[in-house]
Amino acid sequence: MQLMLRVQQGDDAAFDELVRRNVNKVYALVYHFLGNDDLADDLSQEVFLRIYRTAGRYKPTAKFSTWLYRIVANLSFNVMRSRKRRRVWQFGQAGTQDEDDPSETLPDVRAGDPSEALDDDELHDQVATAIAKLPHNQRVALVLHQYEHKSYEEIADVMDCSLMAVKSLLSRARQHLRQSLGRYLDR
Amino acid sequence: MYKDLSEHDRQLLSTWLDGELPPDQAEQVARAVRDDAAWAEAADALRALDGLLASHRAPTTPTDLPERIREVVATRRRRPAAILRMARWAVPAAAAAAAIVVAITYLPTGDTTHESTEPTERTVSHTTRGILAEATDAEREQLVELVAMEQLDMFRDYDVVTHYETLVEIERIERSGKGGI
Repeated sequence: MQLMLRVQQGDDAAFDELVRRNVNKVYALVYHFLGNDDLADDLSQEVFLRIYRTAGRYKPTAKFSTWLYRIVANLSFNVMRSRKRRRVWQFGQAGTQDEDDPSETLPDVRAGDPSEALDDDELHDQVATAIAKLPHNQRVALVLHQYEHKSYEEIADVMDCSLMAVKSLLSRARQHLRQSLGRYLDR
Repeated sequence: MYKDLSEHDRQLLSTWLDGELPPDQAEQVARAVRDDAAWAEAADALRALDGLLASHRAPTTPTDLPERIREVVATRRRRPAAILRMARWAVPAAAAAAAIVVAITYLPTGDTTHESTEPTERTVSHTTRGILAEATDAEREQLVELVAMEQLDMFRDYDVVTHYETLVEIERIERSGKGGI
């Protein structure tokens, strides 16, 4: 928080330090939200640019991490929405898959040869895709819990919702992931 | 099995596994998992899922990312002034562009005796010329890009955020009433 107050006052060294301390966290968060390392790279830059530009609006009453999580979640949402719109534009409504529809199962990469062990990289991609396909609020709750180890109360604070809502979001996220990753879990 | 549990029970189990249930409820769920095969299997299924998710790690952050962030911030922090300047004419210009579409749609074709109350190409062009005359070449290019992106509803992933920021700035200026719009 002290660092952020210095950034507010135009201290560039403080901003550099803030980047150094948070870049890994931001990159990992964006990666888990979007499931794509190229996008994670681009959007991480945008997150810090947003922090720099809006530092004046930061209120010391809010935890910096809460503010940071909100920025990352909102920018990731914008990117997901724009990608979805673009796909609709490119392919037309008919026949376009809805990325927010978690009932859509993932392609079985083992289908060609059942005896072939699933490659780690392929499994990694399947998990990334399954998370990225969750509805936005479920994805935010899941990533904050699973990868940032945030309590339900902290997640509720970031998402500005009730504890009951967080319970429901996490439970439904798990149901959706069970559905989309079921074949890798039931081996 | 997991699918045999009700929605309510699945939520209880999920919250229990996260250690977020109050003690009395946690005890009830622990007992159900111990004594009921369906609950036990469901708990195993969620633990397996959590295990799979836990093994899913983000790639290592590129070592040059902090440096690139500093470069991006250094380059683009100069842009707000340009955005503020652009905002003074971007909104009316966008409105004029929309009016052109209306005019093209409603203008009579071939019938010179027809009198229409719809905006004519001439008046719309005059308005547009007036607005664009005040803009620099770079600002005109930005406007063309802005309108094209809005109309096509197709953004590159990186640009959408920039575009969003531009709109936020424009809205802020409009609200403050200082943009001369």
